[in-house]
Amino acid sequence: MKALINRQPQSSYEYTDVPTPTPGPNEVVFKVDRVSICGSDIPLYKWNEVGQKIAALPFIPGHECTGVVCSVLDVFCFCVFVFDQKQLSQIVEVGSNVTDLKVGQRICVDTHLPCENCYQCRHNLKVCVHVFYF
Amino acid sequence: MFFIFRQNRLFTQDASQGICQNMGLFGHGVKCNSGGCAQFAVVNRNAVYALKYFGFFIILIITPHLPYNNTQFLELIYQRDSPAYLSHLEYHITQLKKSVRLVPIFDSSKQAPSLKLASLAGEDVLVIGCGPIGLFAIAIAKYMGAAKGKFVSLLCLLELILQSHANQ
Repeated sequence: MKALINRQPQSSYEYTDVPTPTPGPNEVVFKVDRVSICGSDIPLYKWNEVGQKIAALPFIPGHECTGVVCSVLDVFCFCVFVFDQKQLSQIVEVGSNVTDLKVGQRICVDTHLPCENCYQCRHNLKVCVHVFYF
Repeated sequence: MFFIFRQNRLFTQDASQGICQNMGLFGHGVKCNSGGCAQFAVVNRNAVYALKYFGFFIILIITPHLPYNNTQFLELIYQRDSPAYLSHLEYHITQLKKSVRLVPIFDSSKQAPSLKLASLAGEDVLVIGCGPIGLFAIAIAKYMGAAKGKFVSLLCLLELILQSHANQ
């Protein structure tokens, strides 16, 4: 598949072929229709001090996939859904342990991926009320 | 704000704990090789939300006119470095109503934007700009106890400013 990818510690993106992902047992693969450019994509592209802190090479940019721009905010998903009904990501393949999502389901993606192992994750305290990483 | 608490997974009232220190980031290359700038992407099922219809959110779409006479106690929730704040918004609003108070809730000058949990209990809130951040501000204002809300788009604000200039 085609993708933008940054492999070098400099301000550059490469539009190239990368292997099409396959889902692990608890993962889903979805087709991306659109992606937005977030403010944090700018330091990622420039690969400045902030970008180096929040990202790791190599990476495929675009953490705000279609319909999900706000990580936990369904409101925006709905708005995108209204204005752009046919342009949302659709699942194309699900892992063996994923039973509640089906191929063809329209989805949005959370940018933040909790580790599920640390104290906060195990006690359902993944984000403090005073910290909002958005 | 019930959506933030929808799964009780990312947001908690317990202030004694911080965020997950081992968190991966989709589209950043941090414990996740996938990103949106590709034809296909793969993520953990826990990060996927199925989309549903929420028809009542039509109510978020925009009041056509802001009644100036009733805005004495409105508070503005704004993003500090937004162009609207930096240029026209504060000037025009304060010129129109000296008593309007600006309350920042998003401070994006920091790397991790902080959320100031000022109490808005029982007060009226004006959110100007109903983009993603504005929608977020609306939800936060509701969570913080705002009684009534006025949500206007920047386009409507521009119309109001032009009207006020025409009246002068």
